[in-house]
Amino acid sequence: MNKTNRRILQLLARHSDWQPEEIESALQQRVHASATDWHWLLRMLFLALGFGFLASGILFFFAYNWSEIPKLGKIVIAALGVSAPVLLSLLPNLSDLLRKSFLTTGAFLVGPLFGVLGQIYQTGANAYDLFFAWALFIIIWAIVVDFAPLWLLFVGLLNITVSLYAEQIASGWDFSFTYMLLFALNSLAVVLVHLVPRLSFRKPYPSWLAKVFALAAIGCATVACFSAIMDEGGGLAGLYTLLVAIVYGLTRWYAIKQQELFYLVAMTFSLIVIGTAIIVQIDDNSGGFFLATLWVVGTTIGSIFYLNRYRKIWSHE
Amino acid sequence: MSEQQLNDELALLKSGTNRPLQIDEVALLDEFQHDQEHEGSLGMKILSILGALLATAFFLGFIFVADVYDSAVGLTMTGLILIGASYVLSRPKYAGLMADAFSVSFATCGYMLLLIGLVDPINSERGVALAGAFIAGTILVLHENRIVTFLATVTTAGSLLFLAADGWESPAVHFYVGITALLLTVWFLFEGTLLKVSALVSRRYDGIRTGLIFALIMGTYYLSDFNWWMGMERAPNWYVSVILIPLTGLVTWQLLRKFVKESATRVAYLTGTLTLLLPTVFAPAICAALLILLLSWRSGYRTGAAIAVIALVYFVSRYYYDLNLTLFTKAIILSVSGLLFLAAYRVLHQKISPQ
Repeated sequence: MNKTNRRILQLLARHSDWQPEEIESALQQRVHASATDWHWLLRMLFLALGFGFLASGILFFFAYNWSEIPKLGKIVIAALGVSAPVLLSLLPNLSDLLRKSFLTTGAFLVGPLFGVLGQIYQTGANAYDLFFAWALFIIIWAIVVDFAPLWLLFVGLLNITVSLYAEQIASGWDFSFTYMLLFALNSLAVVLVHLVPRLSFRKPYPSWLAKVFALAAIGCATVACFSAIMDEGGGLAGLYTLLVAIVYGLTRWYAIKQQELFYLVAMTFSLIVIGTAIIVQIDDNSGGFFLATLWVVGTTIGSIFYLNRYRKIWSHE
Repeated sequence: MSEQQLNDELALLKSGTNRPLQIDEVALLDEFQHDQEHEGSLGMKILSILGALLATAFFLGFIFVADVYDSAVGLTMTGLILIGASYVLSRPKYAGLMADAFSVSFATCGYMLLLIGLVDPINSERGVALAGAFIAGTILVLHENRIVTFLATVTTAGSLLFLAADGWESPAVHFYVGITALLLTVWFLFEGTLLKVSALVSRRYDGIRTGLIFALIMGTYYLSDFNWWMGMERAPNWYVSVILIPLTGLVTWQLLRKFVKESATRVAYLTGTLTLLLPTVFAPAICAALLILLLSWRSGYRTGAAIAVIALVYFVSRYYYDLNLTLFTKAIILSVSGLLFLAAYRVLHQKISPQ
């Protein structure tokens, strides 16, 4: 049985002689969470809390300065941290969700294992090496298990690797270039999340995965363009803005085709912010600020009007 | 949603009562169509809030750069005019999507201008905070726009929190959190009554609900921020737990009454929940996030539940991070609790079916 939209119930409450007790009972039956809903919430909560606590417990254990344990012992414990969840996932009678959660925990604990190895053998590796190796090592894992949270971990690691590389190794990279790289990386992730299920026989990934990557990509693009424009405002800023505009244009086309309002809304805000950077770069006196105010008010209201058009068309279909 | 779907839903709702309802069909349909035209998605609402805040920031920048801010009278007048304009635009007579969006920007900007204009004449932090709460409260009573209602609730609460947080050692923030938690619980549990009590409350119900969730999180965030005190005297955290834990227990009891038939099992579940809540005596933020999660999920409010989960993850991590134990002890506590949660999952998965 589908749930009633709360808004309709509110409308009826406002425009009829419905009594509070009757409304309450209608809410209970038509709007409030059912036993099935609660069951789902508790299951997800226990599962996420269980794995989250367990993995962070093991992580804290590695962070603890365990000087009494001999080197070999450290490695054995770290390796156990990785292999125990993997072995547990082989137990029969596990649900698919639980099995994949175990494997994700194992992939998460690969990082501490590498950390311990680096600590003992003094490989002199940079922090970015650790994250790069971690990401590289779990790539097969991610492909085989093919589980949204694990992909999130993988792409997160790649993001950290790029940021650390820019900070520690690549001295020539400026701030906005690093963010453009992250923009490219996360955009690629969005494309793959949409594309892979179509090219293979896999069922689509949960929609939050692409949205998280898209938010990261749009956030990085905004930061890159904003800082490039504010820094110099020269050709590089123009190039970055153009690249971002092209990607946004393509995304707009796809979002309209797929009727995904989310991408349109996020890109709109990004463009509003980039626009203010251009205005303030041209004139950072009172005139520029005033113009920027008008620009933000105008574009916000205009874009809401424009977005609402799509929302109305799509909701009637 | 089409009118056909509306009529189907209405028929379902009407069949739930034992008597024929007196319905003002024309007014209902009018408001429905207005909503359909103008009620944006969640993302669009967030966009209009961010846009309003950004515009306000630039306008304030303009005022400071242009040196207009010396004139308290000018600022106050402009603020009042903007708030007035936003009020007019939000009236149902004019309200459209465009007017709504302008209304949000004008109200935000006008509020800030009015407040800055009042800084010099009032000349005291507490006075300005009090004025801020009063103005936001007035906007809350006057405005019907959902976004403005939400912003006004958060701003009123924020100003009151600022007042309450005046002294580290004073228990005022605990009162703030306790009262917000109580209000939020009442707001959720008495939804039916509140929707009927007056049109004024009914139209503001959604905005105030979300606003109160943010208000409670702000207060508990302040309490959980240990670093701020750094050895200063402060009121102990358990003060507010005296309200939060019984409230959460009460909500749990309500739910158990609905879903669990045998009273012995009910009592056992409640005892279990309270035992689990007991460790949060010194971490009221965790208990508050759980309370929000229970209330939101209970009434099918998914956005609220999502906010609660994010707050819960943050507060739990924060709690363990700040905990004054060796990493070794922390590691053991965390691993053991993780295993216990997994065991709970296993039990839930195998023994208890939704029916």
